[in-house]
Amino acid sequence: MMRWLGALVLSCICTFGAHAAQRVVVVTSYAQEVISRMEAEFTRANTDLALDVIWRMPRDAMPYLESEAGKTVDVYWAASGRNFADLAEQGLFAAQPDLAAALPATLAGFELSDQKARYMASEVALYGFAINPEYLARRGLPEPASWRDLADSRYRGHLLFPLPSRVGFAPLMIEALLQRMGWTGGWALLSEIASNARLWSPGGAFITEEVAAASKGVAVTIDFFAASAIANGAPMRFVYPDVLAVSPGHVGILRNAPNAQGARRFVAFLLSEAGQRALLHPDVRKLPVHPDLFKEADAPAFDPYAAPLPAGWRYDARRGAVRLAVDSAVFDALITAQGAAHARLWQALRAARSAALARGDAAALSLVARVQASALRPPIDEAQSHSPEIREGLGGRAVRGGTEAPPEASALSTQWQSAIARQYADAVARLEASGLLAEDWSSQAGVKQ
Amino acid sequence: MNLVLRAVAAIALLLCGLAHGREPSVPAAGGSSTTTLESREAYSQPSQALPPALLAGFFAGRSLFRQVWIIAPALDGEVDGLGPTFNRASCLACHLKNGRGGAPESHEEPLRGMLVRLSVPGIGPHGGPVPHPVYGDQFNDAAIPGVQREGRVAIDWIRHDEVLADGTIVELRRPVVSLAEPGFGPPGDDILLSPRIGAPVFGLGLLEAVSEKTMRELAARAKPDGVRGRVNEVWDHSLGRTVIGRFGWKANAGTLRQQIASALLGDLGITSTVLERENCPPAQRACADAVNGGTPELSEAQLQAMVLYHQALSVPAARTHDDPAALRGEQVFHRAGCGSCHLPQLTTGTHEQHAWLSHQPIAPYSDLLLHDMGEGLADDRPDYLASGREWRTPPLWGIGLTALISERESYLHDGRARSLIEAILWHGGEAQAARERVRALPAAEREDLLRFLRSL
Ligand code: HEC
Ligand code: HEC
Repeated sequence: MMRWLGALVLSCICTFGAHAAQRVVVVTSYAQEVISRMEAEFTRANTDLALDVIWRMPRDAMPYLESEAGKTVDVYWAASGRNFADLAEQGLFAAQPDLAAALPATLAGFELSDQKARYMASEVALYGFAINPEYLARRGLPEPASWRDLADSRYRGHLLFPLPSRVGFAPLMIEALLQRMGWTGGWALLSEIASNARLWSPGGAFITEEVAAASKGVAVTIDFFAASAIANGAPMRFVYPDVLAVSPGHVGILRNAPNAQGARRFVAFLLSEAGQRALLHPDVRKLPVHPDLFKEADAPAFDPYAAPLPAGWRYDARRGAVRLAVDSAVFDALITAQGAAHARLWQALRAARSAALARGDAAALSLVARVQASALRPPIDEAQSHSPEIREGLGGRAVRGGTEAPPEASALSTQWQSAIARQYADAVARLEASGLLAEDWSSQAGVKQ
Repeated sequence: MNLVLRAVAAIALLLCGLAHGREPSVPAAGGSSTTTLESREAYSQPSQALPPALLAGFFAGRSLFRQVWIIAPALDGEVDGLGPTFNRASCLACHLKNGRGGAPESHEEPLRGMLVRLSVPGIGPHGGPVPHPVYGDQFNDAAIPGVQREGRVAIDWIRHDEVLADGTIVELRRPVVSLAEPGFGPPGDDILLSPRIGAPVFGLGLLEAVSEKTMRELAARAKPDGVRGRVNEVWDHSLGRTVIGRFGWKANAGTLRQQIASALLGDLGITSTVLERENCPPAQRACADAVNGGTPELSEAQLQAMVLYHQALSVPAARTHDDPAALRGEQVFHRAGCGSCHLPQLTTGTHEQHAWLSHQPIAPYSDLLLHDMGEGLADDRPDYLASGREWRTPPLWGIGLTALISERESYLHDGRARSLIEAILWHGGEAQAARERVRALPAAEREDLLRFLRSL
């Protein structure tokens, strides 16, 4: 059984009484519910310490931590792998080998803590499907279990998919799928799934509220949104699919931390049994990083450490992090910007494939497959997706790899969009010319999105 | 369809979704703004009466209420400007799940869902309290880096036992507030302190729609047991005139716009189109010199969205009807005289902006009036017309879900009561007769009464 860290910090609890509480300054981008819960649990056990929370979105936290103001900060605590890697590289973290020692190195092929212990995973979130079982049952739809299932045309009009250029948690999920399924295959699958979906972006109802309210039957989302809603009574289930994508939240102690001792006690708390248990609260519902917690009676139903994985597969966080904004731009070029043309493409491909199948015509089937492959070809290939020139060309967020900024139009992204529009138009023209499509194919089975 | 249109369509669909499957609520606590949800989200539901066109504004308001505000300057310019001094960085921090805050248990524990109002004796320009010359009108125990916080509030508890007629012992506690580590020197002996916990924020559009005429009639009406009740009259910055008070523990704000603008400035340090100047008393130089997040920091559109959010939060339906014990308890409630102040039925007047809030029969269990509650509850800090002994009758709707939603029970203005019976036993002054009747109740009837309160 893995040793808990709780005992380790007991030795450094200082005396207190009439003294002013020492302050620990924490920069974070967690939601108020998460902050409130952790703060309450932490200060209950550490009455001589007070937390000063400074809230910054990940893209805004970097300039802050790198500036003069950053020197007043003790701890950075957030879900932004890129920021942690960058800060570690700049030497801004003080390594904590003893705190990191008790943690597993990877989960489902995803690196958790930094190998040099400059920052540690404090919680994990996984992607999957929030489903409304009653909605699906009423329509005779099975509950999807894999990403491939979501591409099934039966789900057309019943899905919500997070728009990566507008939804902070989505790019990592896209990147994980691309690494696991390959650049071309991954985009083909994403395109097909998106053809069934309405793209969701924040500002209105939460993605899980739409599913709970049965405006759609399935939403692709990150687990804690759904788990928290379910714990608070929403009529939903959450499905962890075949391919897991993991978004770890990290914590690190700044090298110049004015209150290094206090910082260590906060981090040790987060990684202790009490801190990890606090993650299970209905308003938080993040998964602990400690494998032991999954073995206990009140453990979360799903143990990601037990999930099967292709032997030797590893998510490349370094390469992934710099490509996130490129992924979002490709998604926009292939899907978002094409709007109805994207839907129409899939309608044509599906109709042609059915016709070819119905005729038992192998040549026709292979023609449809060829048309599909050329239509769905991403605007750049895998090698280009890693190239700094492409990131420069996209500008803004892409250069640095941030994820949440709204999409900016660049000459390059506009060029991609028109190239893809031509690809789709050509494909539809070829299918029309193939004789596989009925005269009125485009007016059939038009499911409103 | 373009994205914007799709979003609108989606929201319309959502509204249908939310409305779908709802049974007509039997006792409509909030008229057409009632939800039958009994989960931890029961304080967070948009009114079904909210016109679909306003749903987007409701969600925008929700996201501002949930926002953890950022120190300026920041890339997220729409939500920066926290402080320079403040209490908490989000509205949600003191109103988790739109419910109530609470008091710290120990001397060391910081205030999390609570604040302390300050003043010195006298009457201010618009009839309100006179701010303390150094610490202002609210003690801000947090500040952005580089700015001195005003200090720390420490709460200690004095405890005593109350014995009920049947021999049951109930421990009561009252807080002693001290300002520890004062950042700008000792505040002086004449400082007046009023500790207050965050109040629940649902159903407020309906309370805003209760007409002044109704409230004045309620005040004038003859009541048993020596119960009086009067309206507070408070200054409204937005309207530039004195209005009738409705919100806050002493009915010290008249409109939601004013209440929210004051919370933004006083609790978070966010300026708005209503209160445009940072909250920096003259002695606090670093505060006045700090970078701000725009003038004002909150735009008019953002403020309107926040107001709409509060106006549209539904009230949870009472669950009394299918519980015989609660139904018996309802009788006890009225026999004990609770209903003289906790008025079960009111009808809203005409809401100036929103017809859907107008003319609704509602069950707030409040008359929105000030009552002398005796020495035990007094804070000795006048607030407009409210004396140190007077408090506004708080609505009891939704109170039965407190333990579920807030995960702890904290009642009365300073969160001293940890259970409903403690809250009742603190009633004094005009409510003394009612309290004595509860004290004399046989155990079974007392349980029924509490069961009734928990069914609200
Ligand atoms: C530091 C804790 C704290 C924060 C932060 C806070 N509030 Fe409050 N809230 C309170 C307290 C305390 C009261 C009661 C005030 C009084 O009696 O004067 C209150 C009352 C209210 C009320 C009136 C409720 C009623 O039933 O009368 C509203 C509305 C409200 N707050 C909205 C907000 C908004 C909007 C924000 C964010 C801008 C906010 N609050 C932030 C503590 C807080
Ligand atoms: C004279 C008017 C009056 C009467 C009669 C009265 N109350 Fe109250 N009640 C108040 C006021 C005013 C407060 C708020 C006091 C405070 O916060 O310090 C209050 C607070 C409460 C609270 C706590 C509400 C909250 O949100 O924290 C409960 C519960 C309550 N009353 C129940 C009762 C019951 C039960 C009775 C009958 C036995 C009763 N009251 C009789 C005026 C009255």
